[in-house]
Amino acid sequence: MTDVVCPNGHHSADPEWCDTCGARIGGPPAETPAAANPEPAAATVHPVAPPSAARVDCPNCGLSNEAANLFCEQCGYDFTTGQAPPSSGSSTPDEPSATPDSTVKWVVVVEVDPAWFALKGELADQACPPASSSTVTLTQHTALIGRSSQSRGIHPEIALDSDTGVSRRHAQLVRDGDRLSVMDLSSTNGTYLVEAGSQPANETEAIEPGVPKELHDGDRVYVGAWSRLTVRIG
Amino acid sequence: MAEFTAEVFQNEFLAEGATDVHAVVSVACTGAGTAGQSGHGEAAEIIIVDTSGSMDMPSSKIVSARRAAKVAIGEIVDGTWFAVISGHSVAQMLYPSHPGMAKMTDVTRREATHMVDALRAGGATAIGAWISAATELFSQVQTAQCHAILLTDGKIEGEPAVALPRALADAQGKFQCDCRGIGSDWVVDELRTIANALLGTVDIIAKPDDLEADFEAMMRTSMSRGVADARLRVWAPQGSEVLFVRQVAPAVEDLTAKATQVGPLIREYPTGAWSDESRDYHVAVRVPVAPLGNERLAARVEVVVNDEVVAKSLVKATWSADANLTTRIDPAVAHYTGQAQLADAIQKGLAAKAAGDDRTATVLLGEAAKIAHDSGNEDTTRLLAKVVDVVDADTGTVRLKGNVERTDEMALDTRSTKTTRIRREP
Repeated sequence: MTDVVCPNGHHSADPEWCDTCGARIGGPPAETPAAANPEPAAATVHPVAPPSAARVDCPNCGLSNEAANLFCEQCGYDFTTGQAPPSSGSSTPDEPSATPDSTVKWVVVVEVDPAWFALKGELADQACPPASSSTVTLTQHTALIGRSSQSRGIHPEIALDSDTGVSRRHAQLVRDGDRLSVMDLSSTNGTYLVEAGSQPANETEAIEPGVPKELHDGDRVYVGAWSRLTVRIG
Repeated sequence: MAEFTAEVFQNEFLAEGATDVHAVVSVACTGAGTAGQSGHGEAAEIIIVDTSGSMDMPSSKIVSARRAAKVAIGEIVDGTWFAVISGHSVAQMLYPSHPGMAKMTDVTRREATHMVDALRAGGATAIGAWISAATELFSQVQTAQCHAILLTDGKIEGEPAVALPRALADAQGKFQCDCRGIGSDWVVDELRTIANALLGTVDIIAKPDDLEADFEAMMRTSMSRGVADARLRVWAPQGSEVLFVRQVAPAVEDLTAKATQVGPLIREYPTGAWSDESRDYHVAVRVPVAPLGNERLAARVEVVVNDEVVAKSLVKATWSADANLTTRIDPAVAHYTGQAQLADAIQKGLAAKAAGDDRTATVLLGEAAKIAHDSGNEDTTRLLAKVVDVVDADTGTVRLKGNVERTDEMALDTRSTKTTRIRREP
């Protein structure tokens, strides 16, 4: 192996791109000063740990973690996938972490779907917002889909605050071992399930409230005027 | 000497916090030469002809199968190992008469052609047993490039259901198999499973008369594959996940499950033998997030022949705050994502139709009609039009036709994975 070392401290035989983390070694320097950390996912915005210490800074909350940690001890940031913790900001250190009985990790990709807006846009009092995407890793047995309300003390794990077509307590994702299902909580405008590979249409019917429907990798849950939730095995 | 090139099409810019990198890698091969004569060892061919009882109903099927097998034998170049199997309740060796395979010469070609005239129909369909027999034969010649043609007209009924999956697990990686169904009594899913597992094609021959030309073309293609085996070697960074590797042109074929781990960060995907041709692959990698402005290598895609890297391409990721850069989807990625959805919509739509769920079928086939129309996939549009009445292709509004020929439906199903290439801007 040659003596080239990447900005994250990996030895690399390829002088241009790191063999381990893919960071650019030669060429123009990156805008953000790269940190000398052994973990690739932890290229950090708080470069405080010395390069030799086996510690990494969490890119989400800044806490210094042991390099061997899979998740940040404070906020639950996933160092392996680089996925932000659910409802970052409101999370507390005493939150229970991923359930030990499951080997499958589910993530939910929350996106604005113009095609859904074309069908349900009348629920909104505004035009379809620009495309956006965020990913929530499911760490608990249940995750609420809804809109936050301080006064009523509702803090959904999957908060769709801007979509007024979503009920405060709209639906719930429930995990049972490796399986995941969605249950409508008698929402005003209903919850719609579209299997992976299919598209929503006018004929798509809302699922029955209170009855869990099992979800599979790639299935999509539609709620409100534009919200699409794609569940994936992470 | 064969030469490979690999070219990447992607939008490398990712929004803050985004993790998924999609790229289309276009691989082209030139100067492949002839099978078995390009220094990769000898080639071997087996022709498997269904001779179950139904091939006699009507007898035009067995008659054209004989003709087609003879034409295919004529296309096999001298020096190639070959055999002909007559498949019914068991796999019966038709040629050669001694155990094992024969070397193609003027003499053996004449003998084999003569024997093919003796193909008679009678018995059940046991494709698993035929595949197992081919695997056994190929293992005796110890050569890198093995290819089979399988012709059937019926569904498997002469053996237990586990026979085929077992035979395929054993055959995988040992030979490639092109499958053809004749008539309308065979099962598309069965042949598609075989073709997928054994890196081959699947197609329907609706009219027995067309069989001869198809066999000729298939064997000629196989003989032009001078590169015995090429693999895609994909490196992805630590902490990343390869979401899928999918061949998207000339046809959709998911390779994700066929990966072999060759290093901690490196996987290899088999692509089989190559002639002078080009194929496109859609690679999706989920990488760890890096701060804005960072540039990372998201994947290195290499073409490997005989453990030697013959072409290389780099898939990159750059995190940017500029929405103009990050929201753009590369036209090639968008096109092939659509083509994969098209195949899926057709297969699921036809399955729904078969199950009597006309509503789902109408929605899915409507979606397929729209994608086929939008992407200029004329072949698929034409096949779709035989199964549905397209009311408005722009919105994907269709009506299921009342009286559909079974072979038209099967043709649509079998060819659903055929894709059009993206029109590249000059």
